[in-house]
Amino acid sequence: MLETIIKLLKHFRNEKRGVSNVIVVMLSLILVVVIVSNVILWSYQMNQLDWEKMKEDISITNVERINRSSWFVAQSEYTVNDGSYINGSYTDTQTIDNKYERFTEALATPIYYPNGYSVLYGTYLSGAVPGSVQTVDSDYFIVRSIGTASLTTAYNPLGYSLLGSTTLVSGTTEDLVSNNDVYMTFRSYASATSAQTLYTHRETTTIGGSTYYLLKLGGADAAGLTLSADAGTTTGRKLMGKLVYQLTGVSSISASTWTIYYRAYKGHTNVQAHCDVDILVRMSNSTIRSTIAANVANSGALTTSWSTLSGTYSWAAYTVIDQTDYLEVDYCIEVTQIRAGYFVYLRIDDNTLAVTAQTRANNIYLPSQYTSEVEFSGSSNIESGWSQLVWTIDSAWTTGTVTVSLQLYNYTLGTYPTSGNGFISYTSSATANTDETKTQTITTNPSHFRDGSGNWKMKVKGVKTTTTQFDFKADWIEFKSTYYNEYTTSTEYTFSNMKTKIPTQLNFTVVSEYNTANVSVTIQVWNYSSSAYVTSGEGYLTYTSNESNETKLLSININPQFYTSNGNAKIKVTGVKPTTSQYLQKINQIKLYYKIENRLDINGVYVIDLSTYHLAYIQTVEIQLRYRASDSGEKWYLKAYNWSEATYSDIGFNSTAGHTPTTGWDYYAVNLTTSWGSYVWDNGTIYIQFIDQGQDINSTTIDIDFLGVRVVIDGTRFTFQNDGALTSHLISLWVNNATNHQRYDINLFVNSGENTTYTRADISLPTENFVVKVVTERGNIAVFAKH
Amino acid sequence: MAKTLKRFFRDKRGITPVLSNLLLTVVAVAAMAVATTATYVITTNLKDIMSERLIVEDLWFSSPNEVSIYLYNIGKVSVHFSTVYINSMPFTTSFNLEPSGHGWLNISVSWNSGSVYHVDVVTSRGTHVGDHYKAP
Repeated sequence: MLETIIKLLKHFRNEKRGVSNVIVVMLSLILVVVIVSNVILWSYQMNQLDWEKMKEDISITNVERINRSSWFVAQSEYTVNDGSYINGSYTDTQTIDNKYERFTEALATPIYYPNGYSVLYGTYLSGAVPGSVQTVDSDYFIVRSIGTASLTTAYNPLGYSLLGSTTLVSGTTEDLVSNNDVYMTFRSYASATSAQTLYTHRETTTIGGSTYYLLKLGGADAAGLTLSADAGTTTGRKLMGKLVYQLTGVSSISASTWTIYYRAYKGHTNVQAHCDVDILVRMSNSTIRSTIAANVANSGALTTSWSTLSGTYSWAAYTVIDQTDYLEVDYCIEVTQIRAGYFVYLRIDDNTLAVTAQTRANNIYLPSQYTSEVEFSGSSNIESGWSQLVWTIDSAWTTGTVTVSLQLYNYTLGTYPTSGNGFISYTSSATANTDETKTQTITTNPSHFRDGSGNWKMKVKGVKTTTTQFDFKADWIEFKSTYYNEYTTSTEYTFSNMKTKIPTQLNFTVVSEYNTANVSVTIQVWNYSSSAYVTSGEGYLTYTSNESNETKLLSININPQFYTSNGNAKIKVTGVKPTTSQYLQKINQIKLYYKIENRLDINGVYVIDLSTYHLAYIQTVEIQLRYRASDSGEKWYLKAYNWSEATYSDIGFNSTAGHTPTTGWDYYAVNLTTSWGSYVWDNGTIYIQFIDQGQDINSTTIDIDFLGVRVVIDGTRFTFQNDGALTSHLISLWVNNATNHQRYDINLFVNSGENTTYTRADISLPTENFVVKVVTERGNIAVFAKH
Repeated sequence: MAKTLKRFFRDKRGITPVLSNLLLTVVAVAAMAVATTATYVITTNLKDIMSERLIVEDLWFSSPNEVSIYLYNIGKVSVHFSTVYINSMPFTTSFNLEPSGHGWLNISVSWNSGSVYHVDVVTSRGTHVGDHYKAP
């Protein structure tokens, strides 16, 4: 079998005859198949079209002239400009079916809350508007009071303390009450010593009837004086002169080695002599208090010409017992060999000599700086809330150029300040005994400068580097505190974006609380007519707080329009209390009932279908209302928004007299005549306003059953019936009569089995016989003839 | 090399079969091209003819000497109207309509009121559309 097949295949492969014929036939068959298949496909498609065309069954069942469109009704809720919405829905006004939407002129009372504030007196602490003042809750708008009246009291020292070794010279604290040059005088003390030189002067002083030359800290200031003693008769110590230095201001003289210088000479070379001194302390009554040393500080031998000799003495520390005592140095020349007719000499107070050549005592520790330090004390009040403290010192110094510091004790810091508040420093006048007034005003924490009992103290310290003691003369010291004795909080709350309609009544409700009792609270409403807050009558209220939430009402019935302006109003809440302590004003609620007059003003939006009723074919617009009013006391008006004038108007309407209701269901219709174009926007929108005649005593209730808009046209309504199984697409419409065949493009789909009306405002039917044809996209034509 | 080329050109064996095969190939290709082109032309024309649909939306004896025919091309191809027969009287015209196109075709012909006219619009592809119309 296999061999047979192989044999046949080989035979077939070797047989070449007829192959080309087969190929040609195959290609021809392919071409034929392509042609036939295409023909069959096209035929199928076109047959399908023809079949669909045959199945289509469209007919025109009616053609009628129309001169009114259907009603266009509100598609959204009415806007109530005045009056109140009661119940119902805008959908209830779309058809006449006794289902209605109800409005009323009843006093619409919008409630407003402040949305702004201004703190007139006080400090804002917390809260926000309107959030914190909308409801009576724990959320407050809080303002802290500030002092608005103050009391100033001056105090003077009641006591004093001497600091250091300062001593009272004269006067009492009563002398410090006024600036009258009557002083309380304090004497300074030596606050530092240094090695000094006492120079011999020719000036004298008398002590106990005896005359003494003076020892001074300054060098010679005169032409000099030569003291002499006989050196020709006897030998021995010759007293040349007694010199004293009063120990005023000297509390002690430290131990040191004095050097005594002598300006001396002898009259003849044969005279032998030297200088020495006796040192003692003499009381002011001439009695010797203490003999310190005798015949000490021996100098070298005198020469026959003036020379300055010296000797030393070791001074032991001495405490001054009485500063009226005198340090006395008795200069002597001891003659050890005489020469008759000759003398020995000691020269003092010769300003022609250099200080180093003058007679003097050197290295004596005496005061070099004096200090006066006094602390004054007094009392004041303990009121809280000191706003200011002024402290003043008027004083003088018996020497010039004293470095002075005035300090007021800071009880909070527990020390005297060294700068800033409570500290004054200055250098006194260079002229001694010059009254100088120094004052400082403290406004920052002035109460820090008193203690819990109201006590205060201040310290006056004067220091000068000098060898002369001086006095501090206090003339006037005052501690003057100022504190608030009345605190006020006042906040203005503003309302904005309220209705601008004239109110018939304004009712303000203020709920507030103060954290202290007996605050005199004043609530005032701003009068825009007088441009001032009301001070009496309506819009004005006062009361005394009781430390709890209190609700106060202010009703304004007379000319309430004076209290609003362009939707704004404001109210001021002020609290005043005579107190020395701050308190808080806590506003819990501020509410304004804004009652408006008996008016009803609503408007709705209507949109005309311009795709059906093109503006070019609208002849006019009609508005129809079916409504019921609860009283017939006033007329009602239909108006429309005039897009040109940007206001509601009825200018151009066929009737502008309004409609008087009967209290039953009434129809009220207006025609916009030829002015309709001003009331219809390019997209077909028309705003209709229904408004009352004006303010009256009746609160009328209005039920609107129907409110619609329609256009007046000269058009045609076609009714098509599709009895076929397929949707028909109508593409053209013919209106033919004997004189005209007019074609209109349309684009209307009519579903299978549906009856569709089609309105054309631009097609005006002939008055006589006519034929209407409609053509479908598939090519079928339906005809309606009117004969 | 030259010797090889010389011998190649002097060798005449097998030329005839090659030439005959080449000639047959050219002829076969040409014949198929002609057949394909003919097929395309034939089928295209056939398709156009089969796809041609049109209707007379309206016919208006618009004036005493004019008949206006409103035609609407509901087919899938452009249509060229070549002749309108009114009561077998031909009126040559040249009027085109694209698919879904429509428009007036005006024929200047006098007509008598009350008479019935057979209006036959013929396209260049031979499609006829027409009907009897009574003049108003």
